[in-house]
Amino acid sequence: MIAFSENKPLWIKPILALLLWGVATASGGISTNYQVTIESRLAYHAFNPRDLASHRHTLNADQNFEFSKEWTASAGFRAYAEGAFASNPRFGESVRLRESYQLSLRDFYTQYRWRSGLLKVGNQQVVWGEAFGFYYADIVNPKDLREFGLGDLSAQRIPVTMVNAILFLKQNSSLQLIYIPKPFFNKNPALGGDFAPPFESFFPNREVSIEEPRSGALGLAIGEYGARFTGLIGGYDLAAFVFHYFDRRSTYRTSFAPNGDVTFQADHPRVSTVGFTATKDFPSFLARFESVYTTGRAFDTFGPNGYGRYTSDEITAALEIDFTQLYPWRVGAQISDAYIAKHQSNSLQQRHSPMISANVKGPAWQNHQVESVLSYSTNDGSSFAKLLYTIPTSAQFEVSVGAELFLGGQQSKYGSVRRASRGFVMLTGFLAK
Amino acid sequence: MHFFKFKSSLILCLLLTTLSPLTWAKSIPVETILKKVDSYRAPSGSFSFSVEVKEFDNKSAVRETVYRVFSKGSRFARIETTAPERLKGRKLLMVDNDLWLYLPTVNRPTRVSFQQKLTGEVSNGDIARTNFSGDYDARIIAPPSPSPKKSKDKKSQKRTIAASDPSSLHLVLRAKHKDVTYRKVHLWVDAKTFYPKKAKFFALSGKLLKTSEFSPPEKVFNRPTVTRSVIHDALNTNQRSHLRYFDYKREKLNDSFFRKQALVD
Repeated sequence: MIAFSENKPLWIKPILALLLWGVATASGGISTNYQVTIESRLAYHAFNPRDLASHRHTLNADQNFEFSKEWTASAGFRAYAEGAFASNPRFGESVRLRESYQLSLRDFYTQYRWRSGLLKVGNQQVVWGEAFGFYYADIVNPKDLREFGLGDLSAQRIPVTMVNAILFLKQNSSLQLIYIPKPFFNKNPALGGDFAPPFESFFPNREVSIEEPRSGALGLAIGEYGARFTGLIGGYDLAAFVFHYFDRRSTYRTSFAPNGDVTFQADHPRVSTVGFTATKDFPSFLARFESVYTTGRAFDTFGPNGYGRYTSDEITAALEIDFTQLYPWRVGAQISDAYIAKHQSNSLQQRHSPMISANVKGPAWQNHQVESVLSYSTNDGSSFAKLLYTIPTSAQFEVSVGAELFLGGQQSKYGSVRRASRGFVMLTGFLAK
Repeated sequence: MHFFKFKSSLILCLLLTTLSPLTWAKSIPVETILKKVDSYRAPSGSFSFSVEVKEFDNKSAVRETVYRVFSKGSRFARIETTAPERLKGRKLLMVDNDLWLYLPTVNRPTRVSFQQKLTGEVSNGDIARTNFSGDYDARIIAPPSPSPKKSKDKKSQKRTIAASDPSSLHLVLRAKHKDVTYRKVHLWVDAKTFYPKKAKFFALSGKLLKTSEFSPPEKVFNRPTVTRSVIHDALNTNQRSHLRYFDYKREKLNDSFFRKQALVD
């Protein structure tokens, strides 16, 4: 029997009951549509071209139901099988066991939309940010970071069960309220993988393991809640939000076995975030801005006293410019910074983490598309480059060839995963109704 | 009584025949002409239709995309990509002068510009926005005299003839505000019916971006409507997009359907 390895939706029975109610009350029949994506990827390490990096087959399926103009539902799942971890002995056992296959439930919700609002209940994604490259305001759903946050943003987000109500107000404004009864956390890379955190380097010659819970406790009183107000004022798309939740990011405590083995235990303290986003379409460019202030966030330290942590408030901000007059090319640039207010000298994260990024997408020969992303960390001079060339071969298939390169020193943001640099070929099939 | 009716009709006929199309058109407010042009480009009220965009590079078709467009007045439009399967699920939402793009791979509506490319030679605003009268100030200029230079290129000869056709009115449209798709549009319309024939679209910099030609009208909801057009890239004349509008349906569309939060269905 295959078990769902990710979060099971809570309240599955009430959601199913709502779905059945939708079926029962559907007038004029139920209309359905589906979308299936099948993706096969073969990747080799760029700095060791004979070394297999990934051989993965992924299936995504989404089914949508429309019971009436107001009442809809969605159900989706994702499955993948990764062959590289078992066939390439360079990968550790932990990554082979944890990341070789997965079957996970994705969006699974029912929605009712009326003239002045909508209510969505079930497993879903809620996105609050505006920026693309450094999405600081995208705080509601945990992320699957096992591939370093590369790939589609939607695929990285882990849908969680929540109640999501949006009230449409006058002047194109709206008020959104969310409640999450059980918190879920980011999914981090396993030890022994290409993107694994460098925990072994802190304690050389010792066995290191990680204990990382996927979720917190369930309870009405300890649930997560937030609100977001959006408005369109004079062409400015504005939003302000507040969210009280358990930090999606892991910080770690260490414990030692009598034989000296080290266990990193992930912790997710309760934090509060307030944020602001703004977007404006100017005559020759489009500007996106987002800023987030988080109180009581935990940060890891490593020094003479070993591995530890401290708490501080953090401010992040990102500004993105899309140049809209370079038709038919899409060109954008982004700058961002994360600032730790009460920074400690032995912190693993620097007080400032400024980043610069640029992206270009446009037509190549015939209907081929070329896309490039460059990111640069000004703190340590490390950089990331991605190049993707996509060839649509029919309405249902496309072939992509690309490379992802991480450059920089051993301790730098991108250089620390330099070994993960890869070139790949990807075949994607699409079925839809 | 009959004699007076006949007399007034006769005077009207004489007046119309003695006036040239340009003189007659100049007696009509240019806003009225633009509104008439808009009425050919999109019916009024709430409705939906499909747009098929076939892109050509030289003579070979390189891509075909189909959109379903839901429209409510000139304020709201929602465009959903229905084919090919690779692009299904993409949605574009226009509310007044603002535009959002929903990509399933991002799973959130993202603000975009009317000028940005949708597919081929087609910009977002080419499909989402058909409101010349709301977006542009226009003036009529006299039909240009035929070009003294003879072009060897048959296509450009054909275009020159269209531009200097005495049965056409030449309008110059300038953007009323900065949120529109183009800074300036040269539009040629039939001098009697004001049905659009051809348009040239210019960027903010003044550079010619593309040229559009409209096919003769077909009846949609019993009114003559543009159902086919061809957009030529001004920089690469080999590249063009053929647009076909079909399957028009009257719809009852709630305003909440045009909320950006409703794109994530």
